[in-house]
Amino acid sequence: MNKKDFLNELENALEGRLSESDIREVVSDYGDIFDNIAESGKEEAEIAAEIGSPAKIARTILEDGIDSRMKPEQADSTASAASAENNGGREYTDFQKNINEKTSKIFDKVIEPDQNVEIDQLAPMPRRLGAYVLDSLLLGVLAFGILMLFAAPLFFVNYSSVEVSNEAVGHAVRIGEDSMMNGSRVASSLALLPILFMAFLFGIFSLFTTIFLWATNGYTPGKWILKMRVVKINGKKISFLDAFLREFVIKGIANSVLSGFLNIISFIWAYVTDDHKTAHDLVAQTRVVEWDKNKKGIAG
Amino acid sequence: MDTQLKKGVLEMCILISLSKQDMYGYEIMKIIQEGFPEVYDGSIYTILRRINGEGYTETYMRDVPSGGPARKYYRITLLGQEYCGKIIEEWHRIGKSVEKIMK
Repeated sequence: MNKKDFLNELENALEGRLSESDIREVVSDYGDIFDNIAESGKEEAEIAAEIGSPAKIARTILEDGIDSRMKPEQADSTASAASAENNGGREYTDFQKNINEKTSKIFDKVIEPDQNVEIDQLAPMPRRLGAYVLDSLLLGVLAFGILMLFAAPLFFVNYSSVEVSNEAVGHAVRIGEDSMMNGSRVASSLALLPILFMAFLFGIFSLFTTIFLWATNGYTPGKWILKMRVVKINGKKISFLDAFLREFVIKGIANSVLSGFLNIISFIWAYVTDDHKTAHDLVAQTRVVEWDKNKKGIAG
Repeated sequence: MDTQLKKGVLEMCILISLSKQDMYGYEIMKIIQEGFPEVYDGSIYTILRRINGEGYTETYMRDVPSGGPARKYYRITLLGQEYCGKIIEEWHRIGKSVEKIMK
Protein backbone atom coordinates (compact mmCIF):
# COMPACT_ATOMS: atom_id res chain seq x y z
CA MET A 1 0.00 0.00 0.00
CA ASN A 2 1.46 3.40 -0.90
CA LYS A 3 0.82 6.73 0.81
CA LYS A 4 -2.02 7.74 -1.49
CA ASP A 5 -3.90 4.45 -1.00
CA PHE A 6 -3.30 4.59 2.72
CA LEU A 7 -4.70 8.09 3.10
CA ASN A 8 -7.62 7.31 0.79
CA GLU A 9 -8.51 4.28 2.83
CA LEU A 10 -8.27 6.26 6.05
CA GLU A 11 -10.52 8.94 4.61
CA ASN A 12 -13.09 6.37 3.48
CA ALA A 13 -13.09 4.68 6.87
CA LEU A 14 -13.91 7.99 8.59
CA GLU A 15 -16.34 9.24 5.92
CA GLY A 16 -19.67 10.27 7.42
CA ARG A 17 -18.57 9.45 10.95
CA LEU A 18 -16.57 12.57 11.70
CA SER A 19 -17.06 16.10 10.42
CA GLU A 20 -15.30 16.94 7.18
CA SER A 21 -12.85 19.31 8.85
CA ASP A 22 -11.91 16.60 11.38
CA ILE A 23 -11.36 14.08 8.60
CA ARG A 24 -9.21 16.55 6.70
CA GLU A 25 -7.17 17.16 9.85
CA VAL A 26 -6.63 13.45 10.56
CA VAL A 27 -5.69 12.71 6.96
CA SER A 28 -3.25 15.61 6.84
CA ASP A 29 -1.71 14.55 10.19
CA TYR A 30 -1.20 11.02 8.93
CA GLY A 31 0.27 12.43 5.72
CA ASP A 32 2.79 14.25 7.94
CA ILE A 33 3.56 11.11 9.94
CA PHE A 34 4.14 9.32 6.66
CA ASP A 35 6.58 12.01 5.53
CA ASN A 36 8.36 12.02 8.89
CA ILE A 37 9.00 8.29 8.77
CA ALA A 38 9.99 8.58 5.11
CA GLU A 39 12.91 10.79 6.15
CA SER A 40 14.59 7.68 7.53
CA GLY A 41 14.61 6.35 3.97
CA LYS A 42 11.90 3.72 4.23
CA GLU A 43 9.67 2.58 1.38
CA GLU A 44 6.04 3.76 1.42
CA ALA A 45 4.72 0.21 1.68
CA GLU A 46 7.02 -0.43 4.62
CA ILE A 47 5.78 2.71 6.39
CA ALA A 48 2.15 1.75 5.82
CA ALA A 49 2.83 -1.63 7.41
CA GLU A 50 4.53 0.04 10.36
CA ILE A 51 1.70 2.48 11.03
CA GLY A 52 -0.93 -0.26 10.82
CA SER A 53 -4.18 -0.62 8.93
CA PRO A 54 -6.17 2.56 8.21
CA ALA A 55 -9.31 0.74 9.38
CA LYS A 56 -7.78 0.17 12.79
CA ILE A 57 -6.64 3.78 13.09
CA ALA A 58 -10.12 4.96 12.16
CA ARG A 59 -11.64 2.64 14.74
CA THR A 60 -9.30 3.88 17.47
CA ILE A 61 -10.20 7.48 16.69
CA LEU A 62 -13.94 6.78 16.59
CA GLU A 63 -13.84 4.76 19.80
CA ASP A 64 -12.14 7.62 21.56
CA GLY A 65 -14.99 9.84 20.45
CA ILE A 66 -17.41 7.47 22.16
CA ASP A 67 -15.37 7.46 25.37
CA SER A 68 -15.28 11.20 25.74
CA ARG A 69 -19.00 11.34 25.06
CA MET A 70 -19.57 9.06 28.02
CA LYS A 71 -17.82 11.43 30.43
CA PRO A 72 -20.46 12.82 32.80
CA GLU A 73 -19.22 16.42 32.64
CA GLN A 74 -19.83 16.45 28.91
CA ALA A 75 -23.34 15.03 29.11
CA ASP A 76 -24.96 18.30 28.08
CA SER A 77 -26.36 19.68 24.87
CA THR A 78 -22.97 19.65 23.13
CA ALA A 79 -22.71 15.91 23.73
CA SER A 80 -25.94 15.15 21.92
CA ALA A 81 -24.85 17.40 19.07
CA ALA A 82 -21.54 15.55 18.95
CA SER A 83 -23.23 12.16 18.91
CA ALA A 84 -25.52 13.17 16.06
CA GLU A 85 -22.43 14.26 14.19
CA ASN A 86 -20.66 10.98 14.89
CA ASN A 87 -23.58 9.01 13.52
CA GLY A 88 -23.32 10.90 10.27
CA GLY A 89 -26.17 13.25 11.19
CA ARG A 90 -28.64 10.39 11.72
CA GLU A 91 -30.95 10.13 14.70
CA TYR A 92 -31.51 6.63 16.08
CA THR A 93 -34.29 5.39 18.31
CA ASP A 94 -33.31 3.63 21.55
CA PHE A 95 -34.23 0.29 20.02
CA GLN A 96 -31.99 0.92 17.02
CA LYS A 97 -29.18 2.09 19.27
CA ASN A 98 -29.50 -1.08 21.28
CA ILE A 99 -29.38 -3.24 18.15
CA ASN A 100 -26.48 -1.23 16.73
CA GLU A 101 -24.53 -1.62 19.93
CA LYS A 102 -25.10 -5.38 20.08
CA THR A 103 -24.23 -6.01 16.44
CA SER A 104 -21.15 -3.82 16.66
CA LYS A 105 -20.02 -5.84 19.67
CA ILE A 106 -20.32 -9.09 17.71
CA PHE A 107 -18.69 -7.42 14.73
CA ASP A 108 -15.83 -6.21 16.92
CA LYS A 109 -15.31 -9.71 18.19
CA VAL A 110 -14.91 -10.97 14.63
CA ILE A 111 -12.93 -7.99 13.32
CA GLU A 112 -10.90 -6.62 16.20
CA PRO A 113 -7.56 -8.01 17.27
CA ASP A 114 -7.71 -9.58 20.68
CA GLN A 115 -6.01 -7.58 23.40
CA ASN A 116 -4.45 -10.57 25.13
CA VAL A 117 -2.38 -11.72 22.16
CA GLU A 118 -0.14 -9.13 20.51
CA ILE A 119 -0.36 -8.92 16.73
CA ASP A 120 3.38 -9.43 16.28
CA GLN A 121 3.22 -12.75 18.12
CA LEU A 122 0.73 -14.21 15.66
CA ALA A 123 1.96 -16.81 13.21
CA PRO A 124 1.76 -15.74 9.55
CA MET A 125 -0.97 -17.46 7.55
CA PRO A 126 1.26 -19.05 4.84
CA ARG A 127 3.12 -20.85 7.60
CA ARG A 128 -0.13 -22.08 9.07
CA LEU A 129 -1.09 -23.41 5.66
CA GLY A 130 2.30 -25.13 5.56
CA ALA A 131 1.62 -26.79 8.91
CA TYR A 132 -1.75 -27.97 7.63
CA VAL A 133 -0.13 -29.52 4.57
CA LEU A 134 2.52 -31.21 6.73
CA ASP A 135 -0.13 -32.56 9.09
CA SER A 136 -2.16 -33.81 6.16
CA LEU A 137 0.87 -35.68 4.87
CA LEU A 138 2.04 -37.12 8.19
CA LEU A 139 -1.21 -37.78 10.02
CA GLY A 140 -3.21 -38.28 6.84
CA VAL A 141 -0.96 -41.15 5.76
CA LEU A 142 -1.18 -42.64 9.26
CA ALA A 143 -4.98 -42.33 9.26
CA PHE A 144 -5.09 -43.87 5.78
CA GLY A 145 -2.98 -46.81 6.94
CA ILE A 146 -5.13 -47.49 9.97
CA LEU A 147 -8.29 -47.20 7.95
CA MET A 148 -6.98 -49.61 5.31
CA LEU A 149 -6.24 -52.13 8.02
CA PHE A 150 -9.88 -52.11 9.08
CA ALA A 151 -11.37 -51.52 5.68
CA ALA A 152 -9.55 -54.26 3.78
CA PRO A 153 -11.74 -57.13 5.03
CA LEU A 154 -14.78 -54.97 4.33
CA PHE A 155 -13.79 -54.69 0.70
CA PHE A 156 -13.66 -58.47 0.42
CA VAL A 157 -17.09 -58.86 1.91
CA ASN A 158 -18.59 -56.31 -0.39
CA TYR A 159 -16.78 -57.57 -3.41
CA SER A 160 -18.08 -61.12 -2.95
CA SER A 161 -21.56 -59.85 -2.27
CA VAL A 162 -21.38 -57.92 -5.52
CA GLU A 163 -20.49 -61.12 -7.34
CA VAL A 164 -23.41 -62.82 -5.71
CA SER A 165 -25.72 -60.00 -6.59
CA ASN A 166 -24.48 -59.96 -10.17
CA GLU A 167 -25.41 -63.57 -10.43
CA ALA A 168 -28.70 -62.67 -8.89
CA VAL A 169 -29.15 -59.96 -11.51
CA GLY A 170 -28.39 -62.40 -14.25
CA HIS A 171 -30.91 -64.73 -12.71
CA ALA A 172 -33.41 -61.96 -12.25
CA VAL A 173 -33.36 -61.06 -15.90
CA ARG A 174 -34.70 -64.51 -16.55
CA ILE A 175 -37.14 -64.54 -13.66
CA GLY A 176 -38.58 -61.05 -13.43
CA GLU A 177 -38.12 -57.42 -12.55
CA ASP A 178 -38.42 -57.72 -8.76
CA SER A 179 -34.89 -59.02 -8.26
CA MET A 180 -33.48 -56.29 -10.53
CA MET A 181 -34.32 -53.82 -7.80
CA ASN A 182 -32.19 -55.81 -5.38
CA GLY A 183 -29.20 -55.65 -7.68
CA SER A 184 -29.34 -51.89 -8.12
CA ARG A 185 -29.69 -51.38 -4.38
CA VAL A 186 -26.44 -53.25 -3.79
CA ALA A 187 -24.77 -51.21 -6.51
CA SER A 188 -25.84 -47.90 -4.95
CA SER A 189 -24.59 -48.93 -1.51
CA LEU A 190 -21.31 -49.75 -3.20
CA ALA A 191 -21.13 -46.21 -4.63
CA LEU A 192 -21.46 -44.87 -1.09
CA LEU A 193 -18.34 -46.69 -0.01
CA PRO A 194 -15.72 -44.14 -1.21
CA ILE A 195 -17.68 -41.35 0.47
CA LEU A 196 -17.83 -43.34 3.67
CA PHE A 197 -14.13 -44.05 3.34
CA MET A 198 -13.31 -40.35 2.96
CA ALA A 199 -15.53 -39.45 5.89
CA PHE A 200 -13.73 -41.95 8.09
CA LEU A 201 -10.36 -40.73 6.82
CA PHE A 202 -11.15 -37.11 7.71
CA GLY A 203 -12.70 -38.23 10.97
CA ILE A 204 -9.62 -40.12 12.08
CA PHE A 205 -7.37 -37.29 10.89
CA SER A 206 -9.35 -34.70 12.87
CA LEU A 207 -9.34 -36.94 15.91
CA PHE A 208 -5.55 -37.22 15.65
CA THR A 209 -5.04 -33.45 15.54
CA THR A 210 -7.55 -33.06 18.40
CA ILE A 211 -5.59 -35.45 20.59
CA PHE A 212 -2.25 -33.90 19.66
CA LEU A 213 -3.49 -30.40 20.38
CA TRP A 214 -4.94 -31.38 23.72
CA ALA A 215 -2.15 -33.67 24.93
CA THR A 216 0.71 -31.29 24.02
CA ASN A 217 -1.22 -28.14 24.90
CA GLY A 218 -1.05 -26.53 21.49
CA TYR A 219 1.07 -28.49 19.05
CA THR A 220 0.45 -30.73 16.08
CA PRO A 221 3.43 -32.31 14.29
CA GLY A 222 3.19 -29.75 11.46
CA LYS A 223 2.96 -26.81 13.86
CA TRP A 224 5.84 -28.16 15.92
CA ILE A 225 8.09 -28.49 12.87
CA LEU A 226 7.22 -24.94 11.79
CA LYS A 227 7.65 -23.52 15.32
CA MET A 228 4.09 -22.47 16.02
CA ARG A 229 1.55 -23.33 18.65
CA VAL A 230 -2.09 -22.83 19.47
CA VAL A 231 -2.92 -20.85 22.61
CA LYS A 232 -6.16 -19.98 24.33
CA ILE A 233 -6.69 -16.22 24.34
CA ASN A 234 -7.36 -16.29 28.07
CA GLY A 235 -3.94 -17.88 28.64
CA LYS A 236 -5.33 -21.13 30.03
CA LYS A 237 -4.44 -24.67 28.99
CA ILE A 238 -6.25 -26.05 25.98
CA SER A 239 -8.97 -28.41 27.24
CA PHE A 240 -10.05 -31.50 25.34
CA LEU A 241 -13.33 -29.77 24.52
CA ASP A 242 -11.47 -26.76 23.05
CA ALA A 243 -9.35 -29.02 20.90
CA PHE A 244 -12.35 -31.13 19.89
CA LEU A 245 -14.38 -28.05 18.98
CA ARG A 246 -11.53 -26.55 16.98
CA GLU A 247 -10.23 -29.58 15.13
CA PHE A 248 -13.15 -32.01 14.94
CA VAL A 249 -16.36 -29.99 14.99
CA ILE A 250 -15.28 -26.97 12.93
CA LYS A 251 -12.30 -28.00 10.80
CA GLY A 252 -13.68 -31.54 10.45
CA ILE A 253 -17.46 -31.79 10.44
CA ALA A 254 -18.56 -28.22 9.64
CA ASN A 255 -15.95 -27.94 6.92
CA SER A 256 -17.01 -31.26 5.36
CA VAL A 257 -20.66 -30.25 5.43
CA LEU A 258 -19.69 -27.11 3.50
CA SER A 259 -17.62 -29.19 1.04
CA GLY A 260 -14.31 -27.76 2.22
CA PHE A 261 -15.28 -24.14 1.58
CA LEU A 262 -15.30 -23.22 5.26
CA ASN A 263 -11.55 -23.72 5.64
CA ILE A 264 -10.82 -21.97 2.35
CA ILE A 265 -12.91 -18.89 3.23
CA SER A 266 -11.56 -18.98 6.76
CA PHE A 267 -8.00 -18.95 5.45
CA ILE A 268 -8.61 -16.07 3.05
CA TRP A 269 -10.37 -14.07 5.76
CA ALA A 270 -7.57 -14.68 8.25
CA TYR A 271 -4.99 -13.83 5.62
CA VAL A 272 -6.39 -10.39 4.86
CA THR A 273 -7.17 -9.36 8.45
CA ASP A 274 -4.64 -8.19 11.06
CA ASP A 275 -5.71 -10.67 13.63
CA HIS A 276 -5.38 -13.87 11.53
CA LYS A 277 -8.54 -15.22 13.12
CA THR A 278 -10.02 -18.27 11.38
CA ALA A 279 -13.50 -19.71 12.02
CA HIS A 280 -12.06 -22.44 14.24
CA ASP A 281 -9.98 -19.87 16.17
CA LEU A 282 -13.08 -17.80 16.76
CA VAL A 283 -15.19 -20.72 17.97
CA ALA A 284 -12.56 -22.27 20.24
CA GLN A 285 -11.26 -18.83 21.35
CA THR A 286 -7.72 -19.66 20.30
CA ARG A 287 -4.89 -18.01 18.36
CA VAL A 288 -1.88 -19.48 16.62
CA VAL A 289 1.37 -17.84 17.74
CA GLU A 290 5.03 -18.22 16.94
CA TRP A 291 6.35 -20.14 19.91
CA ASP A 292 9.58 -18.23 20.58
CA LYS A 293 7.75 -14.92 20.48
CA ASN A 294 5.09 -16.28 22.77
CA LYS A 295 7.56 -16.81 25.60
CA LYS A 296 7.78 -13.13 26.35
CA GLY A 297 4.04 -12.72 25.78
CA ILE A 298 1.12 -14.13 27.67
CA ALA A 299 1.64 -16.58 30.47
CA GLY A 300 0.92 -20.28 29.97
CA MET B 1 -2.77 -2.81 31.14
CA ASP B 2 -6.29 -1.54 31.62
CA THR B 3 -7.17 0.74 28.74
CA GLN B 4 -8.65 3.56 30.79
CA LEU B 5 -5.62 3.63 33.07
CA LYS B 6 -3.30 3.44 30.08
CA LYS B 7 -5.05 6.34 28.37
CA GLY B 8 -4.71 8.47 31.49
CA VAL B 9 -1.03 7.65 31.92
CA LEU B 10 -0.25 8.29 28.25
CA GLU B 11 -2.12 11.58 28.36
CA MET B 12 0.00 12.63 31.32
CA CYS B 13 3.24 11.56 29.64
CA ILE B 14 2.39 13.47 26.46
CA LEU B 15 1.66 16.63 28.44
CA ILE B 16 4.87 16.26 30.47
CA SER B 17 6.93 15.82 27.30
CA LEU B 18 5.29 18.86 25.72
CA SER B 19 5.93 21.01 28.78
CA LYS B 20 9.66 20.41 28.23
CA GLN B 21 9.61 21.45 24.58
CA ASP B 22 7.34 21.82 21.55
CA MET B 23 7.22 18.74 19.34
CA TYR B 24 5.63 17.49 16.13
CA GLY B 25 3.31 14.48 16.01
CA TYR B 26 5.73 11.78 14.99
CA GLU B 27 8.31 12.97 17.51
CA ILE B 28 5.79 12.62 20.33
CA MET B 29 4.91 9.11 19.16
CA LYS B 30 8.57 8.08 19.21
CA ILE B 31 9.17 9.52 22.69
CA ILE B 32 6.13 7.77 24.15
CA GLN B 33 7.04 4.49 22.47
CA GLU B 34 10.52 4.62 23.98
CA GLY B 35 8.87 4.30 27.36
CA PHE B 36 5.91 2.15 26.28
CA PRO B 37 7.04 0.07 23.30
CA GLU B 38 3.81 -1.95 23.25
CA VAL B 39 1.60 1.09 22.71
CA TYR B 40 0.03 1.38 19.28
CA ASP B 41 0.83 4.55 17.23
CA GLY B 42 -2.84 5.13 16.55
CA SER B 43 -3.68 5.29 20.27
CA ILE B 44 -1.03 7.94 20.89
CA TYR B 45 -2.28 9.98 17.96
CA THR B 46 -5.85 9.69 19.20
CA ILE B 47 -4.95 10.92 22.68
CA LEU B 48 -2.92 13.77 21.21
CA ARG B 49 -5.89 14.75 19.05
CA ARG B 50 -8.22 14.68 22.03
CA ILE B 51 -6.06 16.80 24.37
CA ASN B 52 -5.60 19.26 21.51
CA GLY B 53 -9.38 19.34 21.05
CA GLU B 54 -9.84 20.05 24.75
CA GLY B 55 -7.51 23.02 24.52
CA TYR B 56 -4.63 21.62 26.54
CA THR B 57 -2.33 22.05 23.56
CA GLU B 58 -2.32 24.18 20.42
CA THR B 59 -0.64 23.72 17.08
CA TYR B 60 1.42 25.92 14.80
CA MET B 61 3.44 25.32 11.65
CA ARG B 62 7.22 25.47 11.76
CA ASP B 63 9.64 25.17 8.85
CA VAL B 64 12.13 22.33 8.81
CA PRO B 65 15.76 23.61 8.82
CA SER B 66 16.76 21.05 6.17
CA GLY B 67 13.97 22.21 3.87
CA GLY B 68 10.92 20.11 3.02
CA PRO B 69 7.31 20.79 4.01
CA ALA B 70 6.58 22.68 7.25
CA ARG B 71 5.73 20.55 10.27
CA LYS B 72 2.75 20.85 12.56
CA TYR B 73 4.11 21.44 16.05
CA TYR B 74 2.23 21.00 19.31
CA ARG B 75 2.69 23.47 22.15
CA ILE B 76 1.20 23.14 25.66
CA THR B 77 -1.23 25.91 26.64
CA LEU B 78 -1.68 27.53 30.04
CA LEU B 79 -4.81 25.43 30.54
CA GLY B 80 -2.76 22.36 29.64
CA GLN B 81 -0.06 23.22 32.18
CA GLU B 82 -2.64 23.62 34.92
CA TYR B 83 -4.29 20.34 33.97
CA CYS B 84 -0.92 18.59 33.76
CA GLY B 85 0.01 19.81 37.26
CA LYS B 86 -3.30 18.51 38.56
CA ILE B 87 -2.90 15.01 37.10
CA ILE B 88 0.73 14.74 38.26
CA GLU B 89 -0.45 15.52 41.77
CA GLU B 90 -3.18 12.90 41.39
CA TRP B 91 -0.60 10.43 40.11
CA HIS B 92 1.58 10.87 43.22
CA ARG B 93 -1.45 10.55 45.46
CA ILE B 94 -2.44 7.27 43.80
CA GLY B 95 1.14 6.02 44.01
CA LYS B 96 1.24 6.68 47.76
CA SER B 97 -2.08 4.91 48.29
CA VAL B 98 -0.86 1.89 46.35
CA GLU B 99 2.40 1.78 48.31
CA LYS B 100 0.51 1.94 51.59
CA ILE B 101 -1.61 -1.05 50.60
CA MET B 102 1.37 -3.02 49.30
CA LYS B 103 3.26 -2.76 52.60
